[in-house]
Amino acid sequence: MALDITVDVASPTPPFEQIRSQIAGYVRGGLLAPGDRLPTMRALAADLGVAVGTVARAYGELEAGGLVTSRRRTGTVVTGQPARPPAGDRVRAAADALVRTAREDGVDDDAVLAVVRAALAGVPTG
Amino acid sequence: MAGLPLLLVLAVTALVGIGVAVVRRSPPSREGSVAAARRHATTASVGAVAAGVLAALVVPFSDGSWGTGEPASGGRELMLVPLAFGIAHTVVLTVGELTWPRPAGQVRRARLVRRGPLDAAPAGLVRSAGAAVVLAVLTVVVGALVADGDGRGISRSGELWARSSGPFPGWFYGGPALAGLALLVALVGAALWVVATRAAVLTADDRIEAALRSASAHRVLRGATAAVLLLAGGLLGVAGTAAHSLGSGPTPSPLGPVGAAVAVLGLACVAAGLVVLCRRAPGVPADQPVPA
Repeated sequence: MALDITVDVASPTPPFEQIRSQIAGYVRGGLLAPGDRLPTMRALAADLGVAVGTVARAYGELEAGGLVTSRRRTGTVVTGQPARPPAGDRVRAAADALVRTAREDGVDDDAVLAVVRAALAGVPTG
Repeated sequence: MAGLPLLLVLAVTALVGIGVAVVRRSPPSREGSVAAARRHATTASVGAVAAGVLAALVVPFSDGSWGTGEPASGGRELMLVPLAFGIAHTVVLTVGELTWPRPAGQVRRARLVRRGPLDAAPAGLVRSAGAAVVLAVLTVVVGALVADGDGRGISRSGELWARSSGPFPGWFYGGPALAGLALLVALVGAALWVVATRAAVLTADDRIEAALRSASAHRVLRGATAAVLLLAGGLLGVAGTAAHSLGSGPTPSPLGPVGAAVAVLGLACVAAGLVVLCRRAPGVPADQPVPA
């Protein structure tokens, strides 16, 4: 699957952060697997029309976040996603259970979302 | 004027190449970025051929005969003509890739793919280039081993006879050839790296970007491979002729037919070099019309 990086040079978000966040999103979403090689800094900078230092900073931040590693021979390689906090897994499992229950009881998606929003806002739903 | 036939062959080949390019030209591109990239590539390609031909014309006079109206009579300068063409051609193409149109506009997009120096290069041309370099190096090494001490001729002797023949590509010719070849190989490596890392062309069709990059690598390899094949062919032709001359005559030896075979191989290399020089770069697929 071809992945794109988009940079808006007029955006208040610095270009290095735009690059970093998109690559981090691809790694966390599983679209970039451990072992995948990122483009060289020079090539990505040339493609985006930004300075090499901009891409170098984005790659540096990704490395500091444990998402990629830089090796002399292979370049920048995806190492994998950092361990997800246990609470994230529990919430996801609860959400899956909620959706299953809603389907079994014939509750439509809008009603499910309304219930979740109300719960988030602290309004009693029972 | 010994170099005139070689220059004539180069000029005819260039004309044939231009003719092929004009007749089989890809349809014009509607996307502005693609059209600009194709214009840039054409300019660089024409400039590279012009610089190569100019270098090939100047090298025969490099022994100081410039201004006398007479080209150098030395075979060493003539031997370097193909390499001069290849080096000048590659340098200009590299400059063309370094000055490739940069992305403009507020929002830029790039594909998150890693490109290696040989990823865009046509595999057949890479293999041809490698084989040509190996053949040229082998020719120089074998020539240096069997040549006379001065590296300019070859001689054999029996109990009652001694014969010598030349010119023969010993170290006198092989040394500069090897140095030029090493320079050309380094330049081609650098050029392919620049091709791989230069800016992508912003287009909705990935095939167009791939074709443009492949065409860039093709042009680099085409000129360099042809230069090396012409060099190897020239060396083999001279070596074969000298060996054939040595092996014929009153005391025939197996060197005669071997020399003839080597000379034919040299001619085949020259022909292959000219064919490679005329090979058209990959065409750019027709793009989609830009909505009004």
